[in-house]
Amino acid sequence: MAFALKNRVILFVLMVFSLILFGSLGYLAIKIYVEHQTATLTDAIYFSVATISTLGYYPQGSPLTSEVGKWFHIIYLGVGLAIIFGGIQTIVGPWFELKIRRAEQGWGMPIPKDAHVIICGYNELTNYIVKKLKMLEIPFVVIDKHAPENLPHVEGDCTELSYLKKGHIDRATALITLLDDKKNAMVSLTARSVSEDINIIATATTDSGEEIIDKAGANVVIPRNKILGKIIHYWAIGDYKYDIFASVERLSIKQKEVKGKSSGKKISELKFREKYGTILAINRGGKIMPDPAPNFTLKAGDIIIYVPKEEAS
Amino acid sequence: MIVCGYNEITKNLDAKFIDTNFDEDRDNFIWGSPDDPETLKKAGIEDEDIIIIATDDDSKNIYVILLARTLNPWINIGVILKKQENVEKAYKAGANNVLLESDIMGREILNALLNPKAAELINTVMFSEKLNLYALQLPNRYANKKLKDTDIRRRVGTVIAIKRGKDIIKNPGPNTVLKDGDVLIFFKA
Repeated sequence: MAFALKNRVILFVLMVFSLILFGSLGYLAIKIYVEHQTATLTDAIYFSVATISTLGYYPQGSPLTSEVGKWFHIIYLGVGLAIIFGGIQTIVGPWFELKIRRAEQGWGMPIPKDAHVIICGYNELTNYIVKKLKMLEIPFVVIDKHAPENLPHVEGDCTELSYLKKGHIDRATALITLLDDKKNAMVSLTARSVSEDINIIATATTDSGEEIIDKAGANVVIPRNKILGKIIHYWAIGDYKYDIFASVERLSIKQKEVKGKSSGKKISELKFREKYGTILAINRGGKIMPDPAPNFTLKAGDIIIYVPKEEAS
Repeated sequence: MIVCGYNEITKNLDAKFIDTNFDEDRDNFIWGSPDDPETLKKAGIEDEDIIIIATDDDSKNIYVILLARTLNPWINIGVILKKQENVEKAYKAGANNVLLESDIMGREILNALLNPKAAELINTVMFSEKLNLYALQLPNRYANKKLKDTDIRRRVGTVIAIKRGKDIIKNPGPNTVLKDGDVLIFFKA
């Protein structure tokens, strides 16, 4: 919504700008070639701006007096009025609407209604995720009792359905829950009960929590202690696995599904490395095949997991 | 290896632990607070290579870094922190490696959200013994050669990245020139 409005404002400014340019050039041309008088650029701009701002009788001292000039003036005024009044209506209208809606809701940012991500809990981790989602222009809403004003948010508790509904859970693509294990299990259950296909991602701290949250309906459970423990272990024993994973962000591993005309082709035929990056593995129906040879034949549905080349990251 | 803080994160590490509340007595459990130099000395910090500091308090962790650095200037210090603002302080205090909890978890979550299959792969590799990332120090005779002019692809596999000093070169192409000291990274079963 806000983005569309911004586009409209840009369009409007461009239109007004071209309108003034059109008026000024027309004025100059008629003044010089039809009326054979001298005219300055200032006169021309003054004429154009004064006319479209409808300052009554057009500018003293620099009117167009010829027949052609008068007709040009009439046409210019007509087009100008249409652009100005039309433009103001299409911009100010929605802008007012937005203002009123925000005032009604009492929060600074509108809650996205479609294809958005719901984040349960506000903490250090929320900040990290929100920063990245903003960069990727993925809409999101934070649900927490102490959610900050400057983010799209719902004040409340994710374990209660009513607050999830305020966050438009029925239309959301994903839900990330960053609370403690018990609450994350509750949130997963609640969210799953209203949405069959929402992608639920939860963090867990204990082994039993990991299992229970998974059973409660989460799609992905991320075990905090296990991961941190593994990473510190790899670092301590000097394993390069750790180094790679510490730079996972720099490697930014991505995936691509094999579709349409790529299927049945060999990897070497796709020029995949040049176009996208180095292939790490192929995931065929859950089976991971690492380091495929160049003559490996791809099938539709295969998922290529790769390290993207520098420009793409 | 000394570990300060016995908790869910560190409990599986093979180390000497320093903490104030163990639920049992074991040979590798040292009772005491890591911010007390005497406790660190008792744990033998002067002769250790690695210390991992993972109490649940950032300020305490940073204090222990400073302490450990003064007691043993050559020790490798790894630390786990909660707050972003403390990362720089930890490095300044003398840490060699700082893990920021929210960074690591955030990456995991975003991977799960945006590239679920890639995330799955990462986790499989992280927790499995079968699939592995291999690192190979570049043999001397390959230095200053282009990747395509070597038999590395045929003999070992695809080089997915090259670790050169602190940098990681992603997506090395056939024309990438290898340098002495490079570490080649492969992904294999």
